Amino acid sequence: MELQSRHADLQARGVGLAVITYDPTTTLSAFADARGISFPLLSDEGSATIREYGLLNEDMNPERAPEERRAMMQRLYGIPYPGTFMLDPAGRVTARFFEAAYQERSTVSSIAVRLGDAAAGPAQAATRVETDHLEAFAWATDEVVAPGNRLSFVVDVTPKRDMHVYAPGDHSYRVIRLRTIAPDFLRQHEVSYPPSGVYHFEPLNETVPVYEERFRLVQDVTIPMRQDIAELASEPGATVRVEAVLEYQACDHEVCYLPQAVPLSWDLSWRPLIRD
Amino acid sequence: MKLMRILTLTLLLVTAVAAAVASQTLPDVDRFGPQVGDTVPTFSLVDQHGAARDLQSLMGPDGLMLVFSRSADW
Repeated sequence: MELQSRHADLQARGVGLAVITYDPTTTLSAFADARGISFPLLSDEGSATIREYGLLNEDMNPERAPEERRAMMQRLYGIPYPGTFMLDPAGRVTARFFEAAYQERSTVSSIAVRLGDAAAGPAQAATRVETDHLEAFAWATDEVVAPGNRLSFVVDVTPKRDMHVYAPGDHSYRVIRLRTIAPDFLRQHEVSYPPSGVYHFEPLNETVPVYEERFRLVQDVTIPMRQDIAELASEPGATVRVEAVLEYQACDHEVCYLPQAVPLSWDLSWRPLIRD
Repeated sequence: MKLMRILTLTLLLVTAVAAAVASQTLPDVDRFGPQVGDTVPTFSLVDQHGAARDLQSLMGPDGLMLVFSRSADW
């Protein structure tokens, strides 16, 4: 289980970890034993706490379901909208990460990166890329994934001396971005950009948002929970190769270079869905 | 074979519900539950060992990651 593998990390950072589900204690106890779970799994049988938090998933309300689905919904009603709260020691929410589809969840490392944790490092060796215009280290927050995971691909980019690349804004230059191209089942979220600087190009009296110093791009992707993907993932030893391109246009004080597309790839392995 | 059956049941439930939910528009989940800056409700829930746990007992020195998840059973 992904959370278990990150438990020690969280502890080292002084952050507790607990999971709430609507299962009876016996189910949680069997699950914890089978998977070696060492953090608290809390039983909210009857979903009183889930309701009090305002997280009851009303999509599963049997009264709203068509006749033929009612029996199944009866069993599912009570699950929450899945998500993660980061709380400070006083119990105040400092950040929250929620998914619309109940089978999906952000991985802990992906949350750390999105919280701006500069210390969050690669789960696997980063791929180093050097072009005429920049140096980049590309890595994935997780090297072991499962259907339903939302993870992040991270690119730490350092433009070379006197170079800049373009940040989003009102201009016609090619904005730097990371785009995954395979496998096609990955659902891409918006690329997250850090605050940019401003470049003043005197000959045209033009000001454009740019990056001239080291910066970090984060591209989140969700692996949908689908039967065909789950079947792929359940094959022993199965891996998945993610292919992406880093697209950008770079300019220095005199020349704008042709737009570039730098191929990147990561090999991820599937987390077994069921462990004996 | 039992494992395979559990896996099959999980897939069945997950994909059946996904199909049911896909026919509706997905809810705007950002508006549900406590927001950034809010203090969350307290609770007392039993953990897998049968011990009653509240926020205080779960909290680390620098906070808590509190995860709401679907069933451990499917």
